[in-house]
Amino acid sequence: MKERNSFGKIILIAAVILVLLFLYFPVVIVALYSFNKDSINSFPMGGFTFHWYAVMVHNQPLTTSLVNSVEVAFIGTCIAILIGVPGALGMHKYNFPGKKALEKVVILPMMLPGIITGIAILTFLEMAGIMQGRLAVILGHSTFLIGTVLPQVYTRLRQLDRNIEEASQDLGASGFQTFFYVILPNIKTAVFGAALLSFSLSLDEIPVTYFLNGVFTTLPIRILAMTRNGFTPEINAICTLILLLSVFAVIFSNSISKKDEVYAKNTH
Amino acid sequence: MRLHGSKDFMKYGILAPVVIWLMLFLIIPYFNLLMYSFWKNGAFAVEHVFTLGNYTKFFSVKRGSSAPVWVLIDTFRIALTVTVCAVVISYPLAYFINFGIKNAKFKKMFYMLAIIPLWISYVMKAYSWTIILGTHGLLNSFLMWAGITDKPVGMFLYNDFSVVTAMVNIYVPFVLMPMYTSLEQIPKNLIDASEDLGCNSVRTFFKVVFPLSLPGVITGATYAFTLSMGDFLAPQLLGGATSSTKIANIVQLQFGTSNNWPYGAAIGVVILMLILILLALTGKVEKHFSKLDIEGEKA
Amino acid sequence: MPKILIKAENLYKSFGSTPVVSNMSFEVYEGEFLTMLGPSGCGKTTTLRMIAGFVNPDRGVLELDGQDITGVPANRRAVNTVFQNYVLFPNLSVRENIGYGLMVRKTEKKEMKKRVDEMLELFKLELFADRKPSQLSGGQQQRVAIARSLINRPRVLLLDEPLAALDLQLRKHMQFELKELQRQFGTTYIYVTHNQEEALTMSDRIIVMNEGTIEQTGTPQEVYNSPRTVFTAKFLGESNILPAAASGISIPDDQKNNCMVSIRPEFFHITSDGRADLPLSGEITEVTFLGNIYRIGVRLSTGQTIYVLEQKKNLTEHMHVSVSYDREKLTFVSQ
Repeated sequence: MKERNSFGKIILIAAVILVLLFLYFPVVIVALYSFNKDSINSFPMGGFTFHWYAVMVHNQPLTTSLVNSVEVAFIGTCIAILIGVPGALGMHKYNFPGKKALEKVVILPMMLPGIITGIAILTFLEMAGIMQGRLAVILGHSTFLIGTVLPQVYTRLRQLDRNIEEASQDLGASGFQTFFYVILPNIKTAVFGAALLSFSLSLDEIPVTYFLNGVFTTLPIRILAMTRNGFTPEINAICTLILLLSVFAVIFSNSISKKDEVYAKNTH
Repeated sequence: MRLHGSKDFMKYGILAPVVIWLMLFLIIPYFNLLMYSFWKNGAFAVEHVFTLGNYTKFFSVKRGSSAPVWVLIDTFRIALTVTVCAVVISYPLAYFINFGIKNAKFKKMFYMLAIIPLWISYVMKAYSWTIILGTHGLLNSFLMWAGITDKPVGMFLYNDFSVVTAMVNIYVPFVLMPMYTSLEQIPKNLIDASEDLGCNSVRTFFKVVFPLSLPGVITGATYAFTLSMGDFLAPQLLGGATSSTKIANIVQLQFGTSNNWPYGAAIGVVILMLILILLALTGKVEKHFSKLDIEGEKA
Repeated sequence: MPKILIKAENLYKSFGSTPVVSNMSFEVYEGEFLTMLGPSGCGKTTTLRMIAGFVNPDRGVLELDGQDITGVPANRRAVNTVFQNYVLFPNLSVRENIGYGLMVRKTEKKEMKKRVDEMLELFKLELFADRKPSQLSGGQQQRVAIARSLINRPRVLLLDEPLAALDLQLRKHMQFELKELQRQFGTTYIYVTHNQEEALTMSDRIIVMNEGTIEQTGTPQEVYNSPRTVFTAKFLGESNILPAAASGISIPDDQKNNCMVSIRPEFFHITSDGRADLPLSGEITEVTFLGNIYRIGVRLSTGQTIYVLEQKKNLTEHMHVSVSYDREKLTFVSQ
């Protein structure tokens, strides 16, 4: 019995290693080859250099698209928070007809492939007289980013003691005081985490952006165009940079949300 | 009652922004798409007249194997392949992190390792396979350097294989998350109880762990499938001449050079309907499985 | 004549189509420790929440100090609540939790600090003043919850099963502490519990509730010794309910509508003579040893089994015995 167990365990560990290799190998290669002296991705590597990073920085369409992406991500996240947080508060506090429907609709853009949402918003905006471009992209991004912010804040609210608002009012606080002193401090990490996630989702978004952007380029669209035009090594460089930012973002957001869970667990 | 009045105002005031926004930019657009799919694509502009032409065009099988319906079925096949592969690949990892690691610190570290790919850019993942599988890419140059082949092999890239490989690589993290959550929620003492009653770990797995993890597996699989159905980027980047046209690419074309928005909308609606039906079905199946009575399943 | 602090008239509340509280009318006297006692679902918590202001009654009137507070929102009532699971604010320290009520009423800082320090000292929480609730034990959290309420000097303190989450020893200790606190401050307490022992120990008066209505109101002695309904008789302590006529008991004129009697097991006595002239006799079905006393089940000729607490030893199953009772200790009860 024990032998079979440890044989099974070896197989499992082997499988896990293979899976992790499969997941990371491609991106590690890109990161590695961003330092490659050669301008083709052959084995073995031709030497080590930072050259392509310099080229990348001077690639103007690329840097412009980066600025555009950051702008859209920032505005989209702000809108998502301004709309999503009150929405979560409302859903937590009140029952109303269509509440369940709202819960499902909000995450619909995340469940459906981006192309569907993209063409839907495109055809609608076109009829509303809004052309493809910056504004359309911002509107499109905000719409699916709400689906990131609202559910996360809503979940956090439900972890709070259901009587906590009553306790606050019982002690004489008005609705506004309750929100400011009790609710807000307890959701701020959820809001921050959702904002971080929204920002990165927006930066990486392609399908919806593809149909709404016209000539307004965002970073991933620009990278996409670059790869289709034939390989240039600074693509490796920009991808590696994004990779580093993504990794930091995950680690950072994970460390602040863990603190929240400890709070929630011990006050029940 | 004045008090009730101001309460209602708060209630509607706080919910209005999200309801209005979603109405305006989500619900109306989806219905609008439906309406659009019944319009005619005139010579200079879209004509707002009702026609079923877009749908008949889509479902006609006259053009042989390149008919859109066949493309739809082909995409279906690819999506299914991607889903099965992604599920098979993700499961060991999700299982291992949950049950194979006792140390809390390592568990957290492995969990992060599993999550990070979720945040890695789509285009980076897709693109990375082109440089690995290409004729002048990593795999070929390695094979030649190792003496295994003496010429670049064109077979790795620009076909179904490369498209599926890249998509599996991209969608595994999406499958992993719900799977992991499902496994995490299995109470550890159920496993203890099962072993206490005489099951070894293999039987415990099949009778206790696997059934309870099914809701997560179904969620993950649904996610991978629907996203694969609608993916037009990976086929475009990695499909080459033979495999670059999936159903979503046809839609992409209609909003691009073919300039036939109503037709594109119609295909979009077909995809949307299929996905909605799938979501409804898996929602029901998931509900059934999460009510599994584990008592009856133990040895 | 004690002053009436709270008056409730015909309170009615339903959620959906099920009435949770109906026809509740009662008075609360200033300075008393009043308990609302009943099983879960009887409406006691809902009634408490109506007094607190978290729930508005569908019908009925609630008065505090002669003033109608029926529609007044919770944050404007001179009433404070101690919740069952304390509901401390997780992001605030103990000191900030306790001072919360003062802070939202914009109390001057020096005054606030003074009163918070007083509370910390009274509840022996000085060492924990700057800790967060997640760093406290259950008993400590509970003291913070009580302090947080009492610091506002409410007219009435509402307590919703505050001791339910504590282990037995701590609960007994806190029962004593709460009672002492009430005596010291003179605050009127309205206490909600399903634990009849707790109610009997701590209260000045008890309102026994069942299915949204009042079964009986009275002092602990009154509701225990003179239950007026079957429910009250069975809920407080153990009781045997017998149909009067079948037990050979004559019903006095003023009790014509109450044809059931309630006799507590301790007021029955067993004689093993088997005398046929005593109307209650039967066969012993079980004998349970409880330490200083036996609990004996006797199946009467009517088929009903009654329970007797008896010190006599040597009683065994299947013995035929007769049962006598204290005439003064029976009460007539309605269904």
